[in-house]
Amino acid sequence: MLAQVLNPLSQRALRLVSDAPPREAYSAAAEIIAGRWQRFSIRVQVDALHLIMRAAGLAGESGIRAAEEVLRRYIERSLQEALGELGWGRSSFDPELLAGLLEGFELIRAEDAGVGGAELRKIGSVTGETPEFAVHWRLVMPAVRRGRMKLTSLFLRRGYVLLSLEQAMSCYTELVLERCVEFMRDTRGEGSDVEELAGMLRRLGERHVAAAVEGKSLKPELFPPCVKATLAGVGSGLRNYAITVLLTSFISYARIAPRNAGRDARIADFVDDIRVVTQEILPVIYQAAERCSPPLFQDQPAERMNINYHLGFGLTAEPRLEDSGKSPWYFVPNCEKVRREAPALCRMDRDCREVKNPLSYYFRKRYSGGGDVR
Amino acid sequence: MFGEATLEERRRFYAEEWSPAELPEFIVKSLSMREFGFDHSGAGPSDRYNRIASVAQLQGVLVRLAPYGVYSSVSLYRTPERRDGWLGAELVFDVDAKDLPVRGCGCAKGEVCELCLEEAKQHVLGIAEVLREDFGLKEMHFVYSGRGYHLRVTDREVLELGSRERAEILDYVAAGVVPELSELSFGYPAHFRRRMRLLLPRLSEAVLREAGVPKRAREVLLSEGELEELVQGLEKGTGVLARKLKKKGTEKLMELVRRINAEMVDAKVTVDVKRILRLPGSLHSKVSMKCMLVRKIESFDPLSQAVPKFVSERESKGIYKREI
Ligand SMILES: [Zn+2]
Repeated sequence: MLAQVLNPLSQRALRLVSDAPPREAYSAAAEIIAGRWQRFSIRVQVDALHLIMRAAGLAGESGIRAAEEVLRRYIERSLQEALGELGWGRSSFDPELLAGLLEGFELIRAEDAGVGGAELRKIGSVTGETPEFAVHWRLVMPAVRRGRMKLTSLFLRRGYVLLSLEQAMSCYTELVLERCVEFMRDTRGEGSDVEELAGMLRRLGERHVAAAVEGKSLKPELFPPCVKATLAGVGSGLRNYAITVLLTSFISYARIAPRNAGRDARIADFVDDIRVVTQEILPVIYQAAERCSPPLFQDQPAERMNINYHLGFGLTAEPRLEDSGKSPWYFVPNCEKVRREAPALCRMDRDCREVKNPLSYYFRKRYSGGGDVR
Repeated sequence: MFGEATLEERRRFYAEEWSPAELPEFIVKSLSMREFGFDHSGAGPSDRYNRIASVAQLQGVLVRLAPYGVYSSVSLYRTPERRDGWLGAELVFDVDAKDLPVRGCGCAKGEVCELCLEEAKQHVLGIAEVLREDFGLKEMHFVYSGRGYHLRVTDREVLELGSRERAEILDYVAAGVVPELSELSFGYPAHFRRRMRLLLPRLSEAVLREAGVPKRAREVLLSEGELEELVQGLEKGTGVLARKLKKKGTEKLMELVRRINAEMVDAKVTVDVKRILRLPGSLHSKVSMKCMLVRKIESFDPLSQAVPKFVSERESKGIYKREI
């Protein structure tokens, strides 16, 4: 039996988790959240991971996001150790042993998916890594859903996807994490014993948000009140307008700050790396969407595509620069429009009186006096 | 195609021609879990949130109301009349002949002829092949929609997929993403090359120019001999493109093919699980054709098999009228 917990929700882990965790499990949980790797007994690991998940439920969406990152690091590290113990890289390594470990993740050898050795080597020469494993495509969907992989970059054959060890482990990790996130959402606030851990996760979550927004040339402290309110997460009646209409246009125009953008401006005219969108603009929008109650994508997954549509990429899951202009890049609605469509968002301050559009509020502060003028 | 059906014709169709046998098995067995939508006036299916408990009830409604259009959801619900208790949805691909981006015939956008319909059919067959070969799916139903084809997949693995995964699968089967260059004989790159081989001979000078394909590359693509070599070379890999079209030509061409591929299938239908689709067996009143399940798609000819009786009687009646 392995000394690591790979999946806190596996049958094996669920048998071990205790109703009243020992004190030791609390300090182990704190260590894990802090990102320090230590050896714990298997029982303490299981209890600690469950405490983290319960605390995340208590901490709310940003806590869940933070816990997800904590768990991802933990699972990846545990997998590495487990592979070492199984003799990965040595001739004694047995893939069947590995498959046995990954409960619910039926891994087979690539050869057994009906692909010849020559083809496998060819894939290896293209991708740099020869696939050794195969799983049903259903099992890579969590990774696809979570934006970690694209089907069109994978090799499918008769229902199976061919994967290198690294890809297989990543698919497994995403599968486990997806279930953990669901579990955390269903495990809201049980008692005060996890309060302290919840606080840690909350602080970690806030740091993640700040890191995503700051240092990317956006200055969130200069945002107008309506955008600040949106970033903090809004309720169900306001979600679509606040996130998809207001925030999407605001963050994209604020970040890209296009000069002389006409009515038919396209993002591709001002930006030549799609990562400005996928790594700087979308994460801010997604995190705000997650902080809504209920989280926007939980019951409206298609809103992700709608956001891309508002950015001008058409109705797509994956924005690409070539598609920029397929739909209009919607401009930030005027204050008057925001007040009419979503009155609860408008919390006017002094500076609001000077402007008619939320973006002007930001640009004024950012580029004339309030922000760093360059 | 045949002009709009009158209320009288719709009544006759549902009373005399329609029978429960027109309903496909995959609909019958989940009938009461589907939301039904009716179009009473021709303005669209605005009468939604209906639950139909049985085939007999459906027949009663059709005969009594002779609706302009009948639709049922691709999703199954515990309470379809409230669209509540989602149990899963078919995976659907919609190829509408009137929206084909490139065609061999002379039809303009919005028009449909026999050749367009054949092209839509071939395209749907291609999609089905990828679903079978790459995704290992088996339960596929072809439906002639009245102006194109629906491919409806009911394998258990697809039912619970969300919108995002459906969009990803669509990208794959429609070949809507440029693959990394590779010489593999299977999987996505091979699939994309197959689409290229089919499309290349159809691309006109104007289309190529508009897509920014450089002059030299256009000349290669429009010369019969060179094109032949290109199409043959693509069977093995994409090396031939780089040789003949150079870097820019290859990139622009791949992008053009990707865009055309993406436009062949209506993405909104695949992605939106709240959709309702025309019910197989019902009448497409605008064009006076039957929407129907196609059992032998290879030999299916809509212009002989999907034409309701009243259309042929219309003509003889017309002659009769003219005579008196
Ligand atoms: Zn035509």
